[in-house]
Amino acid sequence: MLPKWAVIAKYEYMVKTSGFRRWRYILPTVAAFAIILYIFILAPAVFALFEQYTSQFILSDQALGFMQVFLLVIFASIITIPIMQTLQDNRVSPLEAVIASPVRPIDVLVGRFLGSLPFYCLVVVLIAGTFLALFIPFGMSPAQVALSVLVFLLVVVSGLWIGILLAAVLKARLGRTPRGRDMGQALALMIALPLVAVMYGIMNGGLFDAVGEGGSTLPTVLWLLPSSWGADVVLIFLRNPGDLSRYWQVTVLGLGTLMVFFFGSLYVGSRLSGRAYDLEPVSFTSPLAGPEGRIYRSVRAITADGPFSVVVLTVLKDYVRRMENLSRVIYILGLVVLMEIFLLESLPPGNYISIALLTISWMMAFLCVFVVGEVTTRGKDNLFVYRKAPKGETRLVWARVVQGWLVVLPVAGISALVVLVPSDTSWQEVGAYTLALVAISAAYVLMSIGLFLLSPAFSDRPSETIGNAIAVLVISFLLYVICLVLFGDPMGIWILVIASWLLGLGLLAAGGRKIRRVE
Amino acid sequence: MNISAGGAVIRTEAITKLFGKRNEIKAVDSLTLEVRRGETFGLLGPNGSGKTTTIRMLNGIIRPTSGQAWVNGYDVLRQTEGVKLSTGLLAETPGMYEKLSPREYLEFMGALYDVPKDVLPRRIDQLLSLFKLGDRKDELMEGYSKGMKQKVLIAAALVHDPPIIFLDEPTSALDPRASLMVKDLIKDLSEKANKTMFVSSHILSLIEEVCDRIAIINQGRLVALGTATEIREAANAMDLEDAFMRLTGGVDRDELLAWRSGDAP
Repeated sequence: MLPKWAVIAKYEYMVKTSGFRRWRYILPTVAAFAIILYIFILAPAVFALFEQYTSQFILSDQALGFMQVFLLVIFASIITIPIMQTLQDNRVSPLEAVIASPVRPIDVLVGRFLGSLPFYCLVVVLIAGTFLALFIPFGMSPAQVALSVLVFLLVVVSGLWIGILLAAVLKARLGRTPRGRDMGQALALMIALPLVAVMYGIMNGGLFDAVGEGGSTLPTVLWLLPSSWGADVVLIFLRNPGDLSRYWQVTVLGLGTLMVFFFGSLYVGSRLSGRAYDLEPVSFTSPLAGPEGRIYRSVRAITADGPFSVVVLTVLKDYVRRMENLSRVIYILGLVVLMEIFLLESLPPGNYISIALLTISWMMAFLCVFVVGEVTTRGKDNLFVYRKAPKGETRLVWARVVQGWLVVLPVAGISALVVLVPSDTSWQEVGAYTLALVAISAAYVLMSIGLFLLSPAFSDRPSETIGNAIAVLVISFLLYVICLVLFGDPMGIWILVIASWLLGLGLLAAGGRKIRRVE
Repeated sequence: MNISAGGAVIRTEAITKLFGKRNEIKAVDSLTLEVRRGETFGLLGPNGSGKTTTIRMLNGIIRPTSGQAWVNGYDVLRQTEGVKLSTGLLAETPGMYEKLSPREYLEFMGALYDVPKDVLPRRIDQLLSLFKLGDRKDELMEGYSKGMKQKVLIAAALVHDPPIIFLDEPTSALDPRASLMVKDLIKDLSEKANKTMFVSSHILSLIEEVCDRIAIINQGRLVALGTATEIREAANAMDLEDAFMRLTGGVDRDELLAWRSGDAP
């Protein structure tokens, strides 16, 4: 009989390969063969054309910084992805099933780790192989390439193990209470923001400069991470192609410390595994609904303090009390600030306004998907609560519109100010553009609700959600580009306001009709 | 307004509901029945027999594919607003805002049914104390047990004080004490408040105990209608459970443990 961890690993693998079950057993072999062919033959043949650039790069001071950041991003991503995936799923029942079965927590952790490993390894070997293939034309030996790939793999397995362990511990900690599950879902999104900052830093190029500067404190911090130990080894190979012996001590030391780190983390993980699957309740206090504050009272007053205002307040309270939703708003604002710092600030003055507004309007379309995309995700049963009541669906649709505006419009206003105030634009123009962006965002709310009613997503992760999200993003992007190209700035912005409102109202009317007929 | 015949507050004439792109799934098949004012009527049937679809049609939530039905004199096809105001519904799988407190949820449901503002707070307090939820009325419902949520949902079905109340599996998640309370509530609403109760449940004892008349449906078709005694006698059965199994087709008891010996039944 297979050990328990192997059984779990096998079924984890089967779950992940359910989309191509016919090839699941030959996939690793085929993938390994294809990757070897790609790294050693195909990619080097193509990259030989860029020899001059790569040789300059290896000799530059930026090379070490690049390698550190490159491996850091891989290491951090591999830790983050399992945590995000685990926290987004707030069900505790799978954990209860595990606890009820005769397996040890360490079996579950190792099983999940091994079952997920092939896919992460495949992706990272492909990325690493592409990078290394750039340098094979300079004489990197197969042994150096293989050892470099080993470095990448050790970074990946360490990251994945830490990620799965942290995900299990966090899930068990947060899954015990409704508030904790809420926090988990909020954390699942927020955890990505530092990674996004690093990515933007890379795109802007400033991060490489910072890492490459000798006096900077960033390299010292990075040296604490295993990704930097691995980066050092790979860089020695890149700078001494074909010569494995000259720095063999550093190579052995680098690989050795990576292995010690991995096996050390395995040991620590095995000691912590008991805590990872502990569902002992920590608190029996239920969250209380506090008295309505100033904001709720204002909403009540704005919406005429009748039955409709109660419906608006209900959907708003249900929205705001989910920390996951608030984290999405903070996430979008965080993205706007990061974009301004890393990307938009360096734009030439002539294009700044139009590109900044395009970016922000697109981010608002993204936020609309987050905010109103859940209009039908609680399922038909929730829709039927409204349908059961007279004019219930009409109230639902308009309550969602008001709720969407209450959340999106302040964020749109703040975001517009974040990108417009640092520019050399007059206060009058800042005001006008902010107003325009708020009006466009209001139309995007209508458009998103319309689309999500036309193609309702009745569960948490259906294909309709992704389809609608893509539709909203594509429409908002095309509308902006078409209006700006045809009418220029600023007339194009005001035409965009009108066009997005017309489209938004049309889609809302069509969506409203559709939702009344859903059975 | 169409007047229902002979004091019947719910009347259906061969209502049929088909689902699927080519209407290939027949959920309810030519169902004809009457429920009298003040009566407690039970609808029995196995899983997937069309009980919930019938209830949804009678509440104006979905439209019958063919046939006609009236609820409190209102046509379910043409006068849905009157139907909706006349009925309260405890759904089998209700949508619920768990981030609300029960007081907020009942306020929301009251607003949906346009309960006057001067009446609603007092009614909410009375319903919460009736269901022994008064001291937890400000806790969010996400922390409630299934039974407590069910109590809130029953209260929500009553909040606009409708003359007809539909209860789809009202005691399925309740402990014995709460189940007893719901049974007593059904009886009181029928006898003292003259409400018409339409109860659908898998729990035969509940239906037998509280219902004046019972309909049994199987695969969307009505297979029996009458009092528990009439159904038992017509099916030549010992009790209602036996009659139910005979009318809907049950599993042979010998088959139940056949898997252990490896013998095919």
